[in-house]
Amino acid sequence: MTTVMLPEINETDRQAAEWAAKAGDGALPFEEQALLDEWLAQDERHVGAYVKALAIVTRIARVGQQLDLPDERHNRPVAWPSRRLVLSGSIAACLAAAIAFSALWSGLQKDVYSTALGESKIVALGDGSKITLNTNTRVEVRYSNSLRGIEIDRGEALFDVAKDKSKPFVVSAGQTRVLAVGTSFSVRLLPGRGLEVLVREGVVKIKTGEGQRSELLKATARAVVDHDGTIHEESLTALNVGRRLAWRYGEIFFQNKSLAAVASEYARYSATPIVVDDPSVAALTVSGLYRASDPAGFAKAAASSLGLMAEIEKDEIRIERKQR
Amino acid sequence: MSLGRKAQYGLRMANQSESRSYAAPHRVDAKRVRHMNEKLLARAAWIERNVLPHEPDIRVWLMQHSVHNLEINDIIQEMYAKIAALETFDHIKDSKRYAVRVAQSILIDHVRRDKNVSITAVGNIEDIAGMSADPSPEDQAAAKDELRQVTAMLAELPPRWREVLVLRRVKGLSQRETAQRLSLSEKTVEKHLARAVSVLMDHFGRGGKTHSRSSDTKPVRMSDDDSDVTRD
Repeated sequence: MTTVMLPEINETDRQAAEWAAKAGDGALPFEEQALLDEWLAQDERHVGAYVKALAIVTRIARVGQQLDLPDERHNRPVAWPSRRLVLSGSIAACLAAAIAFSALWSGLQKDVYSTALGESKIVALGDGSKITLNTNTRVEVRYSNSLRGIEIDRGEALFDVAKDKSKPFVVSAGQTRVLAVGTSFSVRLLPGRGLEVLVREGVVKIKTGEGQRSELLKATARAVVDHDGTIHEESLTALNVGRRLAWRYGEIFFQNKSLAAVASEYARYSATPIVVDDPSVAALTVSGLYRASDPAGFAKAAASSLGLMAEIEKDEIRIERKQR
Repeated sequence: MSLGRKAQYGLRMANQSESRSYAAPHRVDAKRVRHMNEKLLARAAWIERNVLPHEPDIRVWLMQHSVHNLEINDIIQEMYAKIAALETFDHIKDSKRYAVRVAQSILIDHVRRDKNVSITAVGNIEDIAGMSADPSPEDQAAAKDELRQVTAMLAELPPRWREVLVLRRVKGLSQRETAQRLSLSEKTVEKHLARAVSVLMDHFGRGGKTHSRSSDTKPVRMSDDDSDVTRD
């Protein structure tokens, strides 16, 4: 049993929702259609409520496609006879579920979520937690009765963790574990170096390997964990953490970043590289908020503010000094 | 095991005949009349993107101008109806401003027609236009947070309703396929879907959660197998 707060629904809205449930596919049997037409003709408000109900169904369908709600995986022939069992056995898990699909079979197998270059994605997990995947990222989710386990093996992700003291939320990246109970933090793999942890809310515990000491990291701080397990901590302002997480909105924030650093940051998001051949140009710095998906837009803006020239080619973007 | 496979085979057959009758709604079928419905479906796609996001702001404005003897829900419903009745949306540049103007004219009509309706104007009635002048920073953030908003709203639904909603409208399963998958009757599937939509109508209209407004919500005990419905 769960108790859910539900609003009192306006009677016209309720009827409209019933019709939208019936007719949302676009076709109704003749008699039903006649009844719907009659109901719509009775009152202008019926039409309005019905259109709104259809609009909501449209929104769920459209946005739902981007949400990557896990599909049922138990429709294979062999699984059918035991499906009822699977369903009833997971009712307990389902009660706590926020998004039911991932919860129904959680603990039974892992779910894998990934994004391509330039893509980002929000994954709603069964316990109410959310994972926001940045570009070129892959995570595996394994929930059991005692542990909420996540493995990140590529890219960067923000974890908004629903509070559940009985089931720690643990993000693993190689030897390093980041433990949380209810908080919001991101983990980014730094190829060739280790990983970066940003704590937006709450506290996380970082363990860098078996027998290694663990370190507490509070909001709003950043830690870089090297391959050898060394942890470098830095405290940031909330504003700064927010800026570093601007990718959630498809943006990247730079503060006094060299064009070389910016070019490598953009390479995470786009297959079209920003090329800066001249080292004296590459050392010039920029600040600002830019669209992650638009390296050409960045190049033009940076070139014009630095008195440089941006050449947008099909397979690369060059920033160089103006020719005289 | 062999029994299981037979059962599975039987199910497959049922699914196939199902898909002929349900999953191809665009097939021309003389017995199906759908001109009105189709027109409204087409309008709904535009309204979803251009009007639905502004409903919360319009409601707030209507509440501030405390309208006596007139339900805000009525004005909102009439507003959707008037916009859906338009032949084309091509002339609308600023959809928020347009929706606000429509709500405003409905309000004025009611005041003129019905002596029982009056407005306690907190400010000039024209300031609704000012409200709509530019998309506020919140509007822009809201657009960015569309995914989050839908996630949160789905998360608030009772699990069974949400499952039905997602299978039917996101995954595109037919009513019968959904019923089979969840071991529910088709009638129950339809009922769950209708309830989910009606709750979302309220949530989207107010732009978020309901449980912060205790005056117009009531707790409902939900069991996962919903005892008022039959399983098959």
